[in-house]
Amino acid sequence: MEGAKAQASGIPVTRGDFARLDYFEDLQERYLSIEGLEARWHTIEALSLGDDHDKFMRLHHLVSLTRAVEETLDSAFRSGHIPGTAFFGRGNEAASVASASCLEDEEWLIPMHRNCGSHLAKGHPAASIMAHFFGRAGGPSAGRDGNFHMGYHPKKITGLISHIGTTVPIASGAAWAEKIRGTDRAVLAYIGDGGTSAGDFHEGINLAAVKQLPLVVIVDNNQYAYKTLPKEQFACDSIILKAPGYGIPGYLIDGTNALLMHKICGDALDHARSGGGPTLIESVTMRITGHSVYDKFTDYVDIEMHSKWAEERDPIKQLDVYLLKNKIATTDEIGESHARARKEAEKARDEALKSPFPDPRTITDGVYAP
Amino acid sequence: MSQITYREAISAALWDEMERDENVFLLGEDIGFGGGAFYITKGFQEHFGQDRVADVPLSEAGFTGAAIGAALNGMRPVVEFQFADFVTESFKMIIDFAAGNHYRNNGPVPLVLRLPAAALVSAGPFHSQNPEPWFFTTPGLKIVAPATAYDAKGMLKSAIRDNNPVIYLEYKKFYNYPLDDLPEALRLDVPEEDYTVPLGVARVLREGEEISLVTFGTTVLEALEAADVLAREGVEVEVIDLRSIFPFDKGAILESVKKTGKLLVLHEARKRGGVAGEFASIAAEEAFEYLDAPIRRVGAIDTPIPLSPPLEKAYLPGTDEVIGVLRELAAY
Amino acid sequence: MYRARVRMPRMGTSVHESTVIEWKISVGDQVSKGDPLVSAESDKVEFEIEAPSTGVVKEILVDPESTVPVGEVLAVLETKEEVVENQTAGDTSPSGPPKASEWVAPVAPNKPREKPAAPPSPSRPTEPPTRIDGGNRLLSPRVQRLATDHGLDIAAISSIPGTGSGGRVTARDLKKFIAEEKDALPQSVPLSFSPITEDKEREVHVPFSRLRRRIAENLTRSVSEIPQATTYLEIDMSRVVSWRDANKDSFAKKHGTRLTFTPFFVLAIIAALRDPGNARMNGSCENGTLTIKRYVNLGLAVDSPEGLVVPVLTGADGMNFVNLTQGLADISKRARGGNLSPAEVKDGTITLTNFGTSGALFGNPIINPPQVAIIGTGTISPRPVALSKGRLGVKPTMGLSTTFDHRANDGMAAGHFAASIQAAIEGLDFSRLEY
Repeated sequence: MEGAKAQASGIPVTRGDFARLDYFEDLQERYLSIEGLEARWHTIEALSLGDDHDKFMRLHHLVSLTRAVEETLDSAFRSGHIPGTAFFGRGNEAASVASASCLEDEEWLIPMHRNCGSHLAKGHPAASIMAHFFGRAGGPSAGRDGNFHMGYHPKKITGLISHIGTTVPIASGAAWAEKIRGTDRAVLAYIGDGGTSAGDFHEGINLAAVKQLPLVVIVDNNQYAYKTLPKEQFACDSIILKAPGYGIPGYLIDGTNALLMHKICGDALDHARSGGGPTLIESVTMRITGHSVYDKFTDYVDIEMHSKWAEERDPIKQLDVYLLKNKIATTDEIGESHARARKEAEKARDEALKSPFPDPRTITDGVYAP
Repeated sequence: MSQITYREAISAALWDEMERDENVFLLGEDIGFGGGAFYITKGFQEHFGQDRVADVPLSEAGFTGAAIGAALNGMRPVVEFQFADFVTESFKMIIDFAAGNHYRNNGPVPLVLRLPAAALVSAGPFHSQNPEPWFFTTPGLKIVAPATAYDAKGMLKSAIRDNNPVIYLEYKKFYNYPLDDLPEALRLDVPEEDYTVPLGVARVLREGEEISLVTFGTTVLEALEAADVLAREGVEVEVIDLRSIFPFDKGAILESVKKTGKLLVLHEARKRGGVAGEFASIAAEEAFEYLDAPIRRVGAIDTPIPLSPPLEKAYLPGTDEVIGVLRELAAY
Repeated sequence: MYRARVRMPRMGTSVHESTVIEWKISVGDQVSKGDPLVSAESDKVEFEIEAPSTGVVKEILVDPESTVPVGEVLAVLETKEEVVENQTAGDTSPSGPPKASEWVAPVAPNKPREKPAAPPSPSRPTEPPTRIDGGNRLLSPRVQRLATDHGLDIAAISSIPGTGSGGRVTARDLKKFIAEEKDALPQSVPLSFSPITEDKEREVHVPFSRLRRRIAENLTRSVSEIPQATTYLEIDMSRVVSWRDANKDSFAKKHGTRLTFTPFFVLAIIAALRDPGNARMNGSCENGTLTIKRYVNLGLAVDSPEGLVVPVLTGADGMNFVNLTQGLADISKRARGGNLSPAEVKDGTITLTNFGTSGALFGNPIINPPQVAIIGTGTISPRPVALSKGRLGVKPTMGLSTTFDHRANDGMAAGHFAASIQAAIEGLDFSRLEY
């Protein structure tokens, strides 16, 4: 890749080589021009999203809370409260919240490490998330694991392991259980742009497709897999082009648009619930943070371009603007929602810090299930 | 009660558990329509349906992961691997996801992985392996290795009812072993009614005062043959079938060693790094003052598994080698 | 029958040692001339050593994997014919011809061993040599624990014959020993708490018989007239016990006489008396004169049914071992049967008495006048003894009690005499005992 080579040789790279502000325009052009492929571009008018005030405010709150929780965790990390490392999904708040909000309580969520919003939307208390990050006994893993590996079984959220790709087969299995039992429930899973290169992704999606399992897989394409750009991850124009390869429908969405995401995911989950089989959704955002808290990402990104994205394509700002412009909420309401979110995050942190560290005498407990 | 083959016993256990608990379902390559590579699930799909007896694409990591996901969501999947050798494809899913999931407080994973294991005749390096050493050190997994039809049925039932991931080693060699050729100690009647064999309990196949021979799996045959030879020479060897590799019956091993003072640990897997090292070390640590001779181990030699018959014979631990070591122990 | 020793051959002028690999035969096997006995290797070549003649394998002396010098005896065969020495291939040593019946085997050299060596197939079990001397003294943890549990220390179990490899004392050997020790415990004696007799007659008067009176007179005279003192020694009987055990059956078969310990004592006494320094202990003392006698008429104290009699074996110093043994047995037998003639209880020059049968260790034998010395032997039993370098061992020993007439001799002389008897017993040259 030209950019990478240039970077290695110390010559400054040009903007064109990086993740793109104009992703969709360019893709749309190229995608539609490919012969023989069935293209499905949804042009979603704002009006078709409806104007459900309560629902939208709820989404707004969760999106804001997601940002607040992650920022609180970030500063907690700098204060030394987080053993090990932490990953945040700044820039992915809308996509996570909007998609996970479509799930029923009894439906399983299989998240990854940029999906803090999904945890919160599914009902995982912020204090529990933070206690987990702080390595406390009160966290969902009781200190046995850390970082974003928390699950939360009371709300049917699976835990995560570091090996990328595992979420998709696991999710297929969870969906398979629903099918065997003949329920009308679906399962929602996430994977990253890098994760689509793993063999597990193929095996999991393939199985779900062959068995017509009630599954929706969202590819969080934040245009970075650590330091690697999509060009190094796959050779086709877009991840979503794989969907027809598996014989399943696929959607390419602007992941910074919360309401759009909410609509499309809801439709896909309904499709799964009614026995229509799996759907693949590619949600395009940009990762406006380092890979982990230790990653000084400034050495491999164009900071100017990142700042521009944060300005123009920030999901929270976009939602604020949308709600105001369409007169669904007032400035005060929005301001209050943000303030409430910050307070909630701080309260959660305080509560989490009160949780004790796990007692070493319990270290051998629970290796085996009774 | 009846005398059935090892393979029939496994089929019977699967059928019984499928009837008993609707959450039990089977997945594997070729098991549905084809009845399985070894015909263990022949007739199952017709009776239980495609949902509960599922053919899967060739994707061990994928379908093992799916089994784990299904287990998290309340099912009790039994995965059939066509050969134990292919479990390496699923290594990550088993070791990194399933094994520690309960410990990490992310819920139990009630999962059974059926692995047709060990050498047959010239099956070659990828159809003959003994995988237990690869898994032995991972907490959260259980590993069982029944050697008789009775144990195969009872332990598979226990494994399916266990809330932990269980690696169930089934020995291809025993599937259709003619009952008349089996030594008396292995030819147990198999009840038709429901029964289980607890995991982690050994069985004493033969009592003796001079030497303890601890083994499991295919080598129970060599062990009993060698013990007979030694008996004709006036040396009584106690043969113990561990049945369960993890959890294992430490008490049975130590009790026997304390009685005889001489220990030989035998398995088909390679001697180096084989689980025999663990049992030998435990005996040395906890029964040191009862030892009247150095502890010995017998296993396959330190090479990949060769195919051609004379090579395979030289690779595997044979009765002659066991006899030789037993005699050395007796004379020590 | 000849004993053919199979030695490690020299497989090259610069080869000084070789390693035994695998024995092809076991002790007790019948072998034919040329049969391979054992495989071995030097750093030059692998080879086999063949049987020099038809015979039976009597001993295997070297374990597999042992490296031994050239010439070391590896095995011993019992052959019908004497095996004549052969030169080894390549033997250029300047040493003289080996003695007959020691034989250095011709060798069948094999091709040098190829790498990697295949694991040796255990075709035959090697039989463990059961020697104790210089054998495997390793005590396994089990053996040590058993020993401690039963209050036995290392020294206590050092005499147990080991049946394990290299003569190792196995747990089974120790268990057997412990069981045997239990059996060897003394029988318990029943206690009773009632009077010995309920009879009216509680005293029995027994007048002396004639013999009893004579014995009483003799001993009273001895004790009242002769100032006597006794000196004590402990004698290591192990060599005599061993030799007697090995030879008593063939002796009895050949000469029709049981071989007791008495002849050995008599031999020792006579040997001691040959030393001029001890001459004064053999003779008579009367009226202020010591008559040293230069012949030995050995008085042997014997219990007869009527009492103690002391028949005399005249001219014991001139008798060979067989005659001595037969003579002693004869007078002893006739004394017990009451068939001695008066002449046979006269003219003794020194007396030997044995009080060991009931277990006594030492005693104070009373001199038989007019003699000047009497030697008493106690029981022969295993006792702890000090070995070299402060080690503890167990050997059959016997107490020697020598009473002497202190008018004729002093303690020093008596002590010297006793020590001479000890030296004569402990250093007995069995090769001179023809029978």
